Amino acid sequence: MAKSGGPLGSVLILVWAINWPKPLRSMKVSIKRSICPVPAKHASSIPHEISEERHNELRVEAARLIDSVNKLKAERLRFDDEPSSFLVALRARS
Amino acid sequence: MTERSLALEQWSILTLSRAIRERRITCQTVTAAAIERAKRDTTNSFIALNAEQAIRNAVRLDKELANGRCRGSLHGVPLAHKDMFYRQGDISTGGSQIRKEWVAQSTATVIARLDEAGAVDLGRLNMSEFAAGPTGHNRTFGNALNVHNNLHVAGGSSSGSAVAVAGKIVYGTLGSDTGGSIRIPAAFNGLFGLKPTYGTVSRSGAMARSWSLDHIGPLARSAVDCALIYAHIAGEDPRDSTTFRAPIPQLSDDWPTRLDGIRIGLTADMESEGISEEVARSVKEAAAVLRSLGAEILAIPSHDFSTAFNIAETIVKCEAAAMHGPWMAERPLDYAPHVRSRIEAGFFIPATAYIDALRLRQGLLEDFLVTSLRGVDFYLGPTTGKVAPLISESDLDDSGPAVIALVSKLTRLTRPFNLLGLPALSVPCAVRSNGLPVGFQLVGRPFDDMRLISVANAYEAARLQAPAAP
Repeated sequence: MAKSGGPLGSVLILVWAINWPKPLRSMKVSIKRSICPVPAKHASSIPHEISEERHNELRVEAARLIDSVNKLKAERLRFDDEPSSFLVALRARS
Repeated sequence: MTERSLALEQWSILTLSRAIRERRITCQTVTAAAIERAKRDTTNSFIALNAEQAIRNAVRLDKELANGRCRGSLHGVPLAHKDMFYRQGDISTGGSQIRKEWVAQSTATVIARLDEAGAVDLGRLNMSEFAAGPTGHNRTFGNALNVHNNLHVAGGSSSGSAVAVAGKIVYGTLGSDTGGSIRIPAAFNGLFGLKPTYGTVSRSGAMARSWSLDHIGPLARSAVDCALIYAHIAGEDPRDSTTFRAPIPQLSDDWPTRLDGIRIGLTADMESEGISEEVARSVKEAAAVLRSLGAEILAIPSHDFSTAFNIAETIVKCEAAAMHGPWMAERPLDYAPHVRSRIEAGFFIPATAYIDALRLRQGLLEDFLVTSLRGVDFYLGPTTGKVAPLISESDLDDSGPAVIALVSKLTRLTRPFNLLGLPALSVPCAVRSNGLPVGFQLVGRPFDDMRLISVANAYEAARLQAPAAP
């Protein structure tokens, strides 16, 4: 173990100082998720960084569309309906 | 009107085609004149003008005519297309910074078909970035300007297509329509714009905005010109699995001038919020003209398109997110903020919701056929609720809810028909405030594309004969 003030200790402190934002960031994310977990249905695969405010806007927008789909699904969809049924229905009228 | 009373740029494709076929004018002369007009263009309609190649093709087509070969009604006719239809070895930008130098490895089926028909391709036309945006704004190449009033938007996403035809540079064009991108710029610039039945025109080699909702179709200055282009691009294509063997639409030499026996449902939706008084009045006047031609105009209840709109939004956002994910990760700042913001919500929607949205299309199609189209041949309503907005009031170089609100407002009446896959034609019907055109939208049953155009043709003939409004 490096003695305090020794050359190895200085290097370790330097490495920690350079990387300090990473551990802090992970800690912040894990604390935040434990306090207010992201609901599974709003989990995002967004590939670029966006602000927290924008994140919330997009969640709201997505939730509105998902709710619209789910509402109609509950009213209309049957077990056997599949995406290609649309093309079949369209072609049946040719 | 004939070729004698009009300048060359005002001729219809039909008139031009006849003159070329009878060798009263050469393909080279016609093409050179179109190139000169393109060079003088002040509306920013072109991204790239391929003048030398166009002249070479025109000379070759003149030689073919001299040798007795005529390829048909598009032989030697100058066209140009939205910069998203690939041509092998040529750049195709999709209106974007990201693909500014991208070279296509294959040629779009629709371009190959127009080449085979003898059309002369003048170059690549301006458009909204990645075909996303009903106003036609473009940060990379600049905005195409509305021909009737350049303080107003051209409409999008086929902005350059509409402007190049309305500005009489070329005689017709191809656009793409995922939520109104043919019909909106057609309405804003006083043109005919057809979104065909889904599956009748190949999407192969056309940059996608949303595979499930993209439609390829023509914009032109007359109904017949629209039909001429459509007849050449339609038909099954083994390179696009959504196309299928159906009767290839034929252009009739003898379209009716009367509409007796045709029943048209006029939507009650025109009194709703979001549709201006001048647009509502224009569509009602158009209905009166159709009635005077013998069509029966029936008032039909307002159809609630809000669900269909949301289902379509779900599909387009998810497909666009899947497509653009890698570029969004690597170079998000190369997207205009309003384009990026429209894609982002797709990353928040689960696959199950996307699949359910696709599964719901069949039911929504059947609903519309048995409600709004019950007992009528066609559905009639406005293409857009208002005339083209000012560029300054729609220039949203921002992200967030304001973009969504603007897009929803402009595409509210067009996007549902992309989901339903039904043929929809925007027809110019009036010129209103600030010299801006209004268009009505005629929607038919699946594969009624040519019938739609024939009704529009009868309407156009009657309107041209009517005395001009004071």
